[in-house]
Amino acid sequence: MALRESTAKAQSSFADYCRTGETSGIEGAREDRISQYRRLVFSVVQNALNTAYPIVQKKYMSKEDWESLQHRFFSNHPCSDPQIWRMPSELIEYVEQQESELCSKYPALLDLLRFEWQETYLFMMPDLELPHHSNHCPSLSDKVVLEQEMQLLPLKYPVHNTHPSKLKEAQAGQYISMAWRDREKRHVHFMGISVFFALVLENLNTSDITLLEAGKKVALQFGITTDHWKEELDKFVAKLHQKHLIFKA
Amino acid sequence: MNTQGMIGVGYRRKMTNALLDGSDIHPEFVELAPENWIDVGGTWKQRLNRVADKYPILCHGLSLSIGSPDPLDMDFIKKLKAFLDEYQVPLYSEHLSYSKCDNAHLYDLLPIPFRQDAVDHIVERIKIVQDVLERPLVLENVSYYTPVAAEMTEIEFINAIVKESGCQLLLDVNNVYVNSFNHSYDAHEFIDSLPLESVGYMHMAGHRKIRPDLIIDTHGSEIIDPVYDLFDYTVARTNPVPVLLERDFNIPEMAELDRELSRLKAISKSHWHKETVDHGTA
Repeated sequence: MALRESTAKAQSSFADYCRTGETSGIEGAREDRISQYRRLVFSVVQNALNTAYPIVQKKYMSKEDWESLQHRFFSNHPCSDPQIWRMPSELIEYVEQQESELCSKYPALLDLLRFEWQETYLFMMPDLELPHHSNHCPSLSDKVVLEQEMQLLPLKYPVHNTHPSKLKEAQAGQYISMAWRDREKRHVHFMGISVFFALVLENLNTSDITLLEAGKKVALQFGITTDHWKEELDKFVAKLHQKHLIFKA
Repeated sequence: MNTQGMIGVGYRRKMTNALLDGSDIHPEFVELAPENWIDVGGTWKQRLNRVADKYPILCHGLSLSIGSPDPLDMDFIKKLKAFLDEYQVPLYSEHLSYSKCDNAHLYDLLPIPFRQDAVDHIVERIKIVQDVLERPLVLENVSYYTPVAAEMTEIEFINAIVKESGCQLLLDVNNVYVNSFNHSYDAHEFIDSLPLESVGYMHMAGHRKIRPDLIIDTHGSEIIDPVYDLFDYTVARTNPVPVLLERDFNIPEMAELDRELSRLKAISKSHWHKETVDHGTA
């Protein structure tokens, strides 16, 4: 590398100041002006995070805690994505690994971040082709094709159907938010589904099996001995088909 | 695709309907940041495709970080090439700055130390990028508010990069104005000292004076008359190149932007059209 150590060091000190707002001196820089860089850089980052997480920002966390989190995140976490619209997803991992105290104060924070990011990601994600399929609604004995632009999100708190102001009283449990991007208007939709159905969908996604085989597998896992689930699964599949999320293979 | 002498506008998503409708604003090309579009699908991909059907697309990147001490991000550059190929982009430009350091992106443009070793480092990287992209890299003179560890002047630095790499220059006329104010030099002399034969693209934008001694390059207001004057001075000394109106914030009514496009068109035509006619009759 042609770059001298002192040049790289000056660049590193300046970049570090822009990330943290703290400096122990930057060679040849005007002290009365460097604060403009910190202001501009941090404002770009804040803007991206506020856009990605409007509910967390405006409805769930206090302004002070949110801004302080933004500052800690950008100071301590090296943002790795060259595309700024994707950068906010890195906040989730950062919070999970580094912010246990904040997560105790805001128990639904991680779920809410994941939920909000799921919407952004699904809205923006690359187009995925729907595999060849019949347009008929599948029966339980059929193998199926699932909408590819669909995601399941396991949650500890019901952030998908609870107003953020009520989340502090919400009970921890097992919830699943299913989200998809429709192929006509390309909007993102959400639906809460049971863990049973989520596991059925996961089995269908990973194995070449029929609806009935997937259902039996999950029923066995849950220790269900009656056949009531078959009727429920049938209704669930009809609902998904109506929303163009499942097709007969 | 020949975009020389064309006047374009920076594509912001909220302009989409106006650009597709084409009644209030009439750019001859649009410029976009590939980082905002790579691997994007859904509604925005559909809209971008419609815009690309109607206008030539030029790209102006944000995250290449050509001046960074960090290694080049080859995965990103390969994705970038695929995007440029997909949209048949005839001109890709970036900033003569760095936006990533110590493995962390900063998403803004930091000033590179004006030093010979930085020149050598960047020249080497320009060649690598051009090889992978299989197209020339056009680099922009950026606005800066403080030098960092400088051992040469800004003009010496830019000239050395262009001369030693053979790359083209994106001459941001507003940045020259902003820097000349912030660092107390003569903008016209600066323009005269640039390798004007290497200018491949120009940018024009508005700025904001936030202190008596400091202007920030905001792209958030209309172009002021002294910058138009400097543009006129510059255009008289360069070959026809595409010219872009940048407006990233406080986006006004499209008709207002269109008036700025018309003014840029009138100035550039007054020099470049004449030159074409002169050449044609010579």
